Amino acid sequence: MIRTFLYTLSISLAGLLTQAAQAQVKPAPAAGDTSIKRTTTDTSAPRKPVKATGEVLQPAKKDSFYITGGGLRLGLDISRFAIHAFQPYRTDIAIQGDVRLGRKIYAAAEVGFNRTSHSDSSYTYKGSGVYTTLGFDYDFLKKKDPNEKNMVYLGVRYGFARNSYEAPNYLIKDGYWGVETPGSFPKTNMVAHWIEFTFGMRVEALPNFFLGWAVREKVLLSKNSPESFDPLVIPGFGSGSKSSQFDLTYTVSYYIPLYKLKFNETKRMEKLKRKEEKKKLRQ
Amino acid sequence: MKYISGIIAILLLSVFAACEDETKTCDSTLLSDLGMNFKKDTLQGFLVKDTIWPKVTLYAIGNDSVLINRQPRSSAFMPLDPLHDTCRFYLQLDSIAIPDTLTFRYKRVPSFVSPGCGFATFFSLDTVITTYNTIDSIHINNREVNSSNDTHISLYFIY
Repeated sequence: MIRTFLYTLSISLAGLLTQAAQAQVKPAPAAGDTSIKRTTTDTSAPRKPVKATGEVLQPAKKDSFYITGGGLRLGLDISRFAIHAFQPYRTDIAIQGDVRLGRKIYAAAEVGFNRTSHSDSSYTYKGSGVYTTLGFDYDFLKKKDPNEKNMVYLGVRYGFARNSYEAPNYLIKDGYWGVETPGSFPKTNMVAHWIEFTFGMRVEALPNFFLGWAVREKVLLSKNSPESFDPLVIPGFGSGSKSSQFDLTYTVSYYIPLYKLKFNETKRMEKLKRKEEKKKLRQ
Repeated sequence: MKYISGIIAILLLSVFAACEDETKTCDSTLLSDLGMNFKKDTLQGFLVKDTIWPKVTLYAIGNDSVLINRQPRSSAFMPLDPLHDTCRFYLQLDSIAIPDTLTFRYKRVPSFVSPGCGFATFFSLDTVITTYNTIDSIHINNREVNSSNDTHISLYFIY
């Protein structure tokens, strides 16, 4: 141990001494006349082609970044409660969420539940199911403040629903034969897939508290319900007998700040500069 | 900007259409009757025309109600028996013509028509048997008897 210590100590001391010795070395004094004289003959060494080192010589560009908050925006779609007023057989709950992935791109998702219950003189219907949609929103709002969280967006989603439904009893009346045929349709499970296109906006009404609306056009891709018994409602999609459905949502949401996003603004700033220069040149 | 009010109006209409209570209106027919038309065959199939019989009588055998009673018709609709897989119809095309009997064998499929209409019995035709007193031949155009109001069979006559 002592040997090792002494060895390291000696090496470090040696290093210090050499550095001190170099610092003490002075430039050698010039002998005689030290004034600058013009040389009559070219005494310079033959020039060699120098490699282009312009890039190295230029001052290093500084990238400009801005850091803004990222987080999860969770909301409740209150328009589903209004739908219940128009279509009393429907009870829907929908929760929407989105997270910022990039400068303008957001990942968006929705999960929801539907319960359908209807009864009249000709049939009784019961159904319940869940759904989810996953997709992206593109925010095309030009923001003055990079930390602004308002957005006007276009989005696309893929939707998937799982539903089980039944008609515990129905009655088919036949006028000519004078018979009434009672029956029931057993519990049936089905899945449906659709794609939806959305346009809407979200506005920060209070700090981290958002109000937003959106219109959606949903196009059914497939469903595996039996041909003789379409569901009344496909959760998340709407009418079970239609292949496309228009919808409007109104969402109240809260933004939970979770992480920071760093965006490189260099290219964008350069573009802006070029544009300004072009404008000046035109003028 | 001048189109904004129009766009908003279209959006609102679309929203109301989407919110419509589908259980209140029955927009499709619940009648899943078998459609039949009459055709006159001349020149051995080279010239086929729709024809009108002057005094058509049609009813289901075993049912007291008469569907058509001595009326001029070029077509007719027959409700199939929703309780059995077969039914027979009496068809007399003219008061002097010898009547024919049409026998239908089918599968019954209870089907959901729409939220407003509820359920109806649809039929899938299996066999049609007929006597050939006045009828020359029969052709099945469509075996699925549902609420589409199709012409499912054509009866051909030579006279």
